[in-house]
Amino acid sequence: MSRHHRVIPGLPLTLGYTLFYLSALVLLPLAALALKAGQMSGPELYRVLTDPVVTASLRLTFAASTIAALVNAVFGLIVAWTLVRYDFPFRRLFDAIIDFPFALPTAVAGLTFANLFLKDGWLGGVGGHITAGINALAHTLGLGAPLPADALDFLTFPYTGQTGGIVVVLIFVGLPFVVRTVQPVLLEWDPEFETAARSLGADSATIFRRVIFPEILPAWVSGVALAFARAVGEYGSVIFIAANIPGRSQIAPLQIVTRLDDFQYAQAAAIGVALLTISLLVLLVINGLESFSRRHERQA
Amino acid sequence: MTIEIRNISKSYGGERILRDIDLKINSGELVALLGPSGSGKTTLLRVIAGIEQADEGSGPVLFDDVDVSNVDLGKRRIGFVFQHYALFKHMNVFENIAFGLRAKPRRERPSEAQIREKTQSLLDLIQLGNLSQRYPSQLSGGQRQRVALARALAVEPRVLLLDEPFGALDATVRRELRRWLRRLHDTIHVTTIFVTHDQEEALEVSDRVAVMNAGRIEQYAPPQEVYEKPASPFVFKFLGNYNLFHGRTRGDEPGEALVRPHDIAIARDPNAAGASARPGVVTHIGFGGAVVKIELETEDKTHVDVEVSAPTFRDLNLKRGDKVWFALRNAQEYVPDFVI
Ligand SMILES: Nc1ncnc2c1ncn2[C@@H]1O[C@H](COP(=O)(O)OP(=O)(O)OP(=O)(O)O)[C@@H](O)[C@H]1O
Ligand SMILES: [Mg+2]
Repeated sequence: MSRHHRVIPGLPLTLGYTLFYLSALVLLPLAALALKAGQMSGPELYRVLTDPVVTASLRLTFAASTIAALVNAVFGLIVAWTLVRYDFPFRRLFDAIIDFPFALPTAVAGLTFANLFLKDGWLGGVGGHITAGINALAHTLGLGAPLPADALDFLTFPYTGQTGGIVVVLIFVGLPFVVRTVQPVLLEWDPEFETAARSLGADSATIFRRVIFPEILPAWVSGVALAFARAVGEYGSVIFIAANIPGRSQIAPLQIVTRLDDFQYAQAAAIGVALLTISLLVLLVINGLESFSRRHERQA
Repeated sequence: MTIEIRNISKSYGGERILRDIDLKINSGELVALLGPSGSGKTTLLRVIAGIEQADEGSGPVLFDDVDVSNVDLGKRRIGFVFQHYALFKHMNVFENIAFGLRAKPRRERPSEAQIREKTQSLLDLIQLGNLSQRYPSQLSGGQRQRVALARALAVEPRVLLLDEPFGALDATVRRELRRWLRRLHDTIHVTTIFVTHDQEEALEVSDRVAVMNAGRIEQYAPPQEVYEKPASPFVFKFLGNYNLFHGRTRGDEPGEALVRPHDIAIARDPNAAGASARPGVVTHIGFGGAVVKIELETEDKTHVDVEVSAPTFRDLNLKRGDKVWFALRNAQEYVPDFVI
């Protein structure tokens, strides 16, 4: 932000207020967390953080969050583009639906997804449902049961309790972030730039890649960062769809809750600090990318 | 390349913005589209470019006698310069100019060395060779304008279309740039149309001026002719200051005569002012450098603006309240136009 041009008078006051606000709401709790983790001795801390169950949960959390964020990066952009650029029936309705993941209690989302995608669910069990149907039909025709029960299991979505299910719910909770950050930029976009590029002979792909995309890149990157951060911290919806087997399908937040349930506050805090540190590093890298791409965007 | 448009109309939401426009531009000509705000200049330029489609039932847009009405904007090989430049903010000057070359399909794309060479020569042409690494936000308005022009020229357009190219610049820069544009045009000879609402700019730079009013072309002629023989009261009024005299024509029709302030002779002696001189009283004197503006009031209380050169004014030695004689040297008479 510019220091030459103060819209709000009294920089010391506003700065002081900002620092106080940040400290009270963010820094203080974080410090408390670090302090709690610091109660452990060094070797003890090391032991907690290298526990295979813990490392596996951290790996799962970050892998699933990264995949979810990347999927949202692509599809969020497409959704935002479609909502802004095209007019179709119920566009406003779809636009409103984007905010659902914000409003819906995540546990409800988790339950819904579990019902749909798990092995017995409507979609997750689609292979089994079809097989059962065919066999029932054959049975009434007196043909016995021609198909083994697992004949169509290849149709089953590979979500059952594994990373896939986790990724799906994380995509769900992260979707609005990308859409809602990119959308305003596309709305503000002056079509004259596109006309200019077109008059210079550029085709649509080139125009998108070289003219439009660089313009939405900063917003897009922040949207992806937000979606990623949200996914890392997500708990409520994931535990309903994951099998939650320690060391295999348990996310880091669940590890923390488990430790808390065992009154091992310091251990929980230590895992929390690890989670935060890695997230912070990732976000710093993303922010670095963003400011790199914003480098020359001083308003004309 | 020649440009010809026939019978072009364009409506937005039922409102006709362009009405049956015909226009023919010779190869290598520099034509100004001049008219007040909202008269449809930009719309006409965009139809010629292919950014907008003319209404159903309009005639063709011909480039070198070939109908391009259905040719896509990107294929018409026009260079379009937008009023607000539309430079790509995240590309530096060099990349902005090279954009059209890099955007070509692979088969037609010049080599990197050729692109550099071409861009460099355009940078020299617009005299911004030393600023090639700057971003648009780091340039002055006039520099941005020239970059926009170079970017359009890079793809070797057959036609150059400029929408108020100097509209956003201050008076001095405008004057400098329009002379530069004229010299540029004299070196590259590409058929050019530029839009302006500044009559001085249109008259000074162009080979021919098309004066637009409410979606029509009122007159299309060389600058001198437009200025000296305006085809309609609108053109006369639009091209400069004027005095309006109501009177009767020879056929005793009611009519009006329009006279430029500098086409009125003024003297202290009725005989010196010329035949049919009328009396008036000086009510105001405005010094404007080489020209002095004098306001007179006649016996019937009408105001008359007169412009004289500074030396003439010195000889006259006028003061407010002086009684003088004035005569119309060159009046344009128009029977009032009842068609609105
Ligand atoms: N996309 C559009 N939709 C509806 N009306 C339009 C559109 N573009 C232009 N118009 C109308 O057409 C008329 C002519 O517009 P145009 O931009 O051609 O004028 P202009 O002569 O270029 O004026 P200016 O000197 O102010 O740029 C205006 O009344 C304007 O409101
Ligand atoms: Mg215009």
